[in-house]
Amino acid sequence: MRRRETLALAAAAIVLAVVLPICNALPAESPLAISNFTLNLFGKFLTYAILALGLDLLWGYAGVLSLGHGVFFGLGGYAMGMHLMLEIGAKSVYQSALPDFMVWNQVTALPLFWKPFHSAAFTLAAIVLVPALFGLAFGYLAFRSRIRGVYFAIITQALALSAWLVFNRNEMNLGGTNGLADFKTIFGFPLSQPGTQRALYVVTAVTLVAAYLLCRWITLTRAGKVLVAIRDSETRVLFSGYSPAGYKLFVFVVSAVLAGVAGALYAPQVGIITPAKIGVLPSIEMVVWVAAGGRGTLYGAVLGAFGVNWIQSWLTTSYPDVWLLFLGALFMGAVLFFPDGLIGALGRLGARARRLIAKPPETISVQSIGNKSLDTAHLSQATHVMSRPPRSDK
Amino acid sequence: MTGPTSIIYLEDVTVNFDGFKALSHLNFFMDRRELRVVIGPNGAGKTTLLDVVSGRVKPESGRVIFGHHTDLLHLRENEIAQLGVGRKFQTPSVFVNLSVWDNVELSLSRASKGVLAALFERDAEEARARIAQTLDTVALGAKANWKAEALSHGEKQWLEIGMVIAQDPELLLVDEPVAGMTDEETARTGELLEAIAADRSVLVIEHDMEFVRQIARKVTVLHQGTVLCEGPVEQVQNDPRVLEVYLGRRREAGDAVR
Repeated sequence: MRRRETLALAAAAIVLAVVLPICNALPAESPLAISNFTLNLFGKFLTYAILALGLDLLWGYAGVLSLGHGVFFGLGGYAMGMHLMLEIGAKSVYQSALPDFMVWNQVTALPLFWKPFHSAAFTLAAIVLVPALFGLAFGYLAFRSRIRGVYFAIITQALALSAWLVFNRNEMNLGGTNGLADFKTIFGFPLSQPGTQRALYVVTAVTLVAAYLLCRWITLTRAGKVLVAIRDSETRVLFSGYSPAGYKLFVFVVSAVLAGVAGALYAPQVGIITPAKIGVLPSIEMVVWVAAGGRGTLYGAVLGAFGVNWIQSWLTTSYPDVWLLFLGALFMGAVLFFPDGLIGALGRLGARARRLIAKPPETISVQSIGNKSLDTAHLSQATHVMSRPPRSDK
Repeated sequence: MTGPTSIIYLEDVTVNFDGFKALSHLNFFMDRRELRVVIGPNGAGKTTLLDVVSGRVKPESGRVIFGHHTDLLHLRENEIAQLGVGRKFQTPSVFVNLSVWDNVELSLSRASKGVLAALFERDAEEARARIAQTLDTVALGAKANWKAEALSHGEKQWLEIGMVIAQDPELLLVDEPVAGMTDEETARTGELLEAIAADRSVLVIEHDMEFVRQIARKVTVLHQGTVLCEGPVEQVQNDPRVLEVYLGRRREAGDAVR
């Protein structure tokens, strides 16, 4: 990891995981105090950032665009939500041991697949394993059949749509359209207490840092280079002796797990998980975060998830009608004008500023390398390269 | 059957693309440490031959044996590559977003190219030396840290040749290596291929007859998916059947003008 990135990560980790919770614990009249509402909002953004990291690893590095990551977010969120529903017990509105929506739906006994979620250990395992196994099965079928590019994007979108339809059905015993809500406690701690929410926030921030380190580690290994190589030329990777399907499956499962963990942290902090988080639209929004922040950098994905959602929470409260227009404009703008996102745009701006500051333009020295002379073919190629825009989206 | 010296052996291979027989009952045989050039008019099945050997195309019938007795028909491309068959494509196919060094590092032959090995293994000094040596062989040592994107067309071709050498294959399949190269680059590529063929088998597809004369000892002429004739360059060039199919069109064109 480069020095600058390490320093920036350490600073961000301290601010997010230590400074902000301390500010939140200060008395409300203190000038540095951060309200419970704001901290909770940040906690939600951080869960999105965890998901965006996995999506960036998949899309920004390996070049595999998934329009269905809402499904994995939902799987993690529902796994956590089911445990929280069971924790409510007889404190629910209907004073039944069953979740309220089951009472409305005249379900008399807890469905079999709900029972293991009484166990906290099982729930924590399910948060990781359910998205992982589902991602493994789906990815295996797709990548083994060499479905790639836009075709893969389309079938993941179909996945999001069908999962949304399934989770909406009351017969699934997952709360239908209303999803899972009215959580009271998490592992015995009351969710209405600021202390519990603060602890959840810290867990989320620490998870984000850990997820970042995991993803960065992957990109720095040879496996990370293989991922970039797959984006550049999958055929060459194949004929170099690697199985691109295996690598894509690996990174797909990693991103599915990160999405599941993000969903599981989202549910108790927001207090509700519904099929609306699973469908096509939220899955596309997730891609927009990564595109807006900048693909293939990891920090771009984090900034994108944080930034876009911050703007969203501001716009939806101040100008509720504008939000969707803004989202559409943001995606089109990112695709048309900033293919490398905010990070790429800032990088170009910085490079231009440095060029302006640097006094005389350096004379370009053409070194002939080896014994190869500079012939006209090379010159025309060189001018062609120089006339291209600084960086094009490939 | 396959002698002790055979590196690749195709018997009665037919490839059918929706009724078009790209290869038709083809028999083809190459010795170890042989440099063979395959020529033939467009559509003769030259690239399909490479596709069959490297696993990209599965023939509808026939046998493809690598070395003594390895049947290649049921293996995937990456498995065939791991066995020791390297392939250089016609248009340069390199990883443009990686450095020149990384391009060769990824191609380097290893016991395992699985995900776990790629995550946890670190390259030993010996591997780094091999990468550096390969880069020197293709005259890209000075550009090891360049992004492959920044290389010229000819340099990308060499980089890809370097990547295939780094795979340490027993058999190299090379598809039109000098297309789009300058005369000087062409001459150097020829020298490079001859050096490679000193301890490996090399199968080259080429259109450029001057280049063929430079490197070839033995030439195979393909026509309509089968071997038309085989032999030393001079003999093949004067074979009336070859003149018929290979130069025939030109003569017809000449006749039409006349």
